[in-house]
Amino acid sequence: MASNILRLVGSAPDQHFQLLALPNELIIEIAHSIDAKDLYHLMQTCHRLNTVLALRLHSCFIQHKDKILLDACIHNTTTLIRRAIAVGARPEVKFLLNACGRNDIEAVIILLDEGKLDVNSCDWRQNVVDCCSWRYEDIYPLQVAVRCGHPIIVEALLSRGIRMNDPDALRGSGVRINRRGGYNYLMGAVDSGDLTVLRLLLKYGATVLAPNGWAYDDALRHAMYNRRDMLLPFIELGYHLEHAIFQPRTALSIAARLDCVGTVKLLLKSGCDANYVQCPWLRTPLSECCAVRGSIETMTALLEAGANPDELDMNSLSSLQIAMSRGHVEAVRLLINWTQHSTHPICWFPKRIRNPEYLEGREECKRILDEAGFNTDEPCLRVRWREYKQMLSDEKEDLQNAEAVEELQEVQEVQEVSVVEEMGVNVEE
Amino acid sequence: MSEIKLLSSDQATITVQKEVAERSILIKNMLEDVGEVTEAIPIPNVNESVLKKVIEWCEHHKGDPPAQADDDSDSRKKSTDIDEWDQKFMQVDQEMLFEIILAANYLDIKPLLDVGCKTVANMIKGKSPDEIRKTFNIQNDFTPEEEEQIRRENEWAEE
Repeated sequence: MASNILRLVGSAPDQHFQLLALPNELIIEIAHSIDAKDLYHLMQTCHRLNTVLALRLHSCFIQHKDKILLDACIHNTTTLIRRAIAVGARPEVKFLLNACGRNDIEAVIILLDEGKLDVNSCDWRQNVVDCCSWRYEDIYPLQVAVRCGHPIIVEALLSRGIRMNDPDALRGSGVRINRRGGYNYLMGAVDSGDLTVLRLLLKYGATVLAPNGWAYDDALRHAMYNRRDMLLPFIELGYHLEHAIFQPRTALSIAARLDCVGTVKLLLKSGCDANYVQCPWLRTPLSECCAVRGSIETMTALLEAGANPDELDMNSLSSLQIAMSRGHVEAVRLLINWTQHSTHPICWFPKRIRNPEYLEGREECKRILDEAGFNTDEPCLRVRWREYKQMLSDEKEDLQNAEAVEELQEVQEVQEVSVVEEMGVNVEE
Repeated sequence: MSEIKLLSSDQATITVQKEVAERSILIKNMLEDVGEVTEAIPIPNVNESVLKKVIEWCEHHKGDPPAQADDDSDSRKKSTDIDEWDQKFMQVDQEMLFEIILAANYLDIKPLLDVGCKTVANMIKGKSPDEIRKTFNIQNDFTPEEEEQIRRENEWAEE
């Protein structure tokens, strides 16, 4: 009985292994048999173990540096990234991509400067990155930063000399899985809608003419149609918005048609011609505006910039006629103050009525025109473009002296011939 | 087969085969240095019961091939890799385990030291700092700030 009690006391649970009584080298010896996590827990117990085992933990760190770097990059712990790189961990390209997507400038700089990652390396391919709820493959870090709209990262990459415009730098960049893509950087910036990023790219020399993957539009056109607020940097840089890129419409007529008054004003201010059309029979910006909404603000901006309200479109319709046929009452009120021709031929009812709402405004428009002394009795007078031009010149004949009229006719004849030829109609007919 | 005598710290004389005693590098070197000895070799740091235990281990392992010096880093890591007999051998009270480790270290019996260390390592494995403190009766002498600092510096180890 007594011996039993003694044995119980001997193996009592409060009997401890005297770990701290061991000499340091034996503690280290024991530490060799445990992994980093347990080592870390052991170090947390008291000062002595912490001091004795610090070196051992550090060698664990060096042993696992690559995995630690990966984890640090995922969990965004810059001190660890720096420490891992300092003991010789080699950063991978995807780390940088992730850091770019997370907008983690500190990590990006460490990876580039201390990790010695080459921004123009060709190894960027075959990397899949998740960022901004999109999955990207085959993507460059700059593309990630641009797409996600992180100007600081963009600047960091650009200032380290990343290539933007040569085909090799763009090949395969920015392909968005499950979506048509392959944009160049400018396109990406316009699409993501970050003005600062766009300005940065333009500042560092990105061009709309850079190869653009499978995208239908270039950056400027994309901005024009979808992201008008992104136009400003292009205008600032003096891109010719009137020409070349938006054929056959000009930027101004697109903006007027889309009733984007800010863009219209911006374009006019940047020097766009309010009357410029690529081909003589196309609608002017003013008639584009009348045809769609007849917004007073946009029209006023155009008229004040010198838009001619009497210019005709391919259907021989002036802006006033278009506005009236669409029943835009306010637009008509505005235009009768600007038009030069009180005997405007009136087009009442186009054969095809697209929108029943147009009918409502028409009676009101007729009343306004009657009051203003316009001739509204002639129903559905649709003259041919050529005849109407002649009528206009006849009116002017009464007003101006003979010499001036001759000159004008000469000019108009030349214009007419070229136009009619282009339309495939023989002038002699 | 020649025999030698060992004198424990508590003056007990134990007779062992020379081959068995030479598992201890300390004794082996000593024998090589002095040649044949007739009197007992004093082992001043080890008492009788521990010495007997150590000799028990040495007798069981006398035929083992000598430990390879170079592959230590790999074999050491797997601390659960203790063979069955050793596991049973190490089922002693904590005091005895402590003494065995010290004796193995003193007598320079590397494989026995490894087994001892691995046994202790297994006691540490998978425990939180608090549990470790409880197991080894360690007093926490950190301030909360110091604890926080250690945590911050070595958080990576948690992964």
